[in-house]
Amino acid sequence: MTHPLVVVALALGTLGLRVSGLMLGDVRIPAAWERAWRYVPLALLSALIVISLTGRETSEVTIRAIALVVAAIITYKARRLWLCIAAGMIVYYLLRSAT
Amino acid sequence: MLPLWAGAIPAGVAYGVAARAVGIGALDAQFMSLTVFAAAGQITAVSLIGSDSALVATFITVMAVNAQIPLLGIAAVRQLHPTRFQKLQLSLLLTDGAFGIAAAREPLRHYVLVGAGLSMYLGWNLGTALGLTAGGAAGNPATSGLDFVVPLSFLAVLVPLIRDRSAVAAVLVASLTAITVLQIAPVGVAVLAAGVIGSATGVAVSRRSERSAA
Repeated sequence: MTHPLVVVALALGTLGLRVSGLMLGDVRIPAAWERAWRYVPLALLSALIVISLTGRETSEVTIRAIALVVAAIITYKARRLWLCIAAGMIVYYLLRSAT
Repeated sequence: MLPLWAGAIPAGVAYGVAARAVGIGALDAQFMSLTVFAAAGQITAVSLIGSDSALVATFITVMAVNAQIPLLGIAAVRQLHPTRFQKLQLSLLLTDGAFGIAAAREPLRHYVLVGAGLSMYLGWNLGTALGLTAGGAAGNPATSGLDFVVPLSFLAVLVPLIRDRSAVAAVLVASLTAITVLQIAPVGVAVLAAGVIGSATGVAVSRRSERSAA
């Protein structure tokens, strides 16, 4: 169940982020801040991926972890978003049907 | 403009499927694509709503995942010096995908950036609708395994961001932190803790390797 208010809050928050960058455009941001900022999405996405594996049966976690590693390697080589998702799902279903 | 559509549609499909997989209503999910328009942030929202995270933690995490958006705005203003009306257009349409495509051809031009953003917007929403339809037809996501689309989407955004050793360190430390904190705290807290500690690690490692290189 989603609250429509959550969606509205996310929309306003994201709009706020877009506007703030455009308003700040001429202001110099310390290089250290800009650098730290770059790692934030990286760290959060890693955490979300790992957490998605928790609370499942061991066999399911193993299959998903293998599929994620294969998808990561393919994405690193090919840099295509759809390829990452397609390859990951195919490996996942192949392993699932094999076990 | 066809290549831009091609890029945004699969991401939209993944988001739509993921939203259905965690039980978000089709109207809510489409409404989010129409109003939020930020791929990684929206998939994060779907993932956290699906794990019943506290709403405040969901909001903070999504905003943090969208943290690169202000940086895009700053970069766009520095290069384009847009008028107020042009800023208004960018405040609705600026995304990393559009910026990446528009900035690939120097110099950056406002109409190219807005065109790319608009094209992405259409592709993203069309993809969402397709994904919601497909995800709705697939049956119970917990048994069908369709929810695996969520971590794969994160991975697709994450991998291109890993460019050096400091990024690898940030990924590893964030993952370990998330798992550790999750033992004692809810998902939202674990993700945010991982965000803070992982980013700090990334900065520390990049400083060290700079110093040893100098």
